[in-house]
Amino acid sequence: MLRHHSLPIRRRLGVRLVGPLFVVVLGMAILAGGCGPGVPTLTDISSVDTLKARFNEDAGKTRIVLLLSPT
Amino acid sequence: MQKEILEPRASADLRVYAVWFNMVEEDARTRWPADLLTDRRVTHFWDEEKTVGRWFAPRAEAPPMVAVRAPDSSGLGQPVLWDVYLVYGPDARWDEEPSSLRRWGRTILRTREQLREAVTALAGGPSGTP
Repeated sequence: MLRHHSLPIRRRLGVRLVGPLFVVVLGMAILAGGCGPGVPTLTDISSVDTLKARFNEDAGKTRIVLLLSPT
Repeated sequence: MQKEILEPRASADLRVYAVWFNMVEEDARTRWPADLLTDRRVTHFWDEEKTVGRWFAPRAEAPPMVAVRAPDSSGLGQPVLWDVYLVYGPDARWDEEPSSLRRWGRTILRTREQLREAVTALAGGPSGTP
């Protein structure tokens, strides 16, 4: 009797634990995703100062500037 | 860039600033290839007035930049510098001008080997090898 009732409870408990765990793991993956592919955005600039500010924010890192045309 | 420089160095502490602007007739902001450089270390800028390319062009002819220009570079001496990479060391600081330029080249395709060498010297080789 007890056995019949306990198995579904365990399964339900498993679902309740796995759900939040999945969310936590997904959140950590998003926060840690510094190098993988992302969804790039294109920011308009009207002077070299924007690039200069960003360049100096990243001091301590190797930096590469690319000057490109879309085609 | 993505396949040859960034992906093999996924853990390297480097940043890329991709500055896009119109240079040929077919160019347009709407033709920006969003799927070309998707690495999170890349920041994309659209420079409608070509201010960055114009800013670098005269400096590319000055001795500090000439000294670290990739030997196979071509198509220089234009009013706007484009199809170019510029590699800076971790100690670089941009006051009047950015310091610690280690290597630059044009075109990117033509001088890509020097780009790879410069990045390897600063950030390590593929998979973090020294």
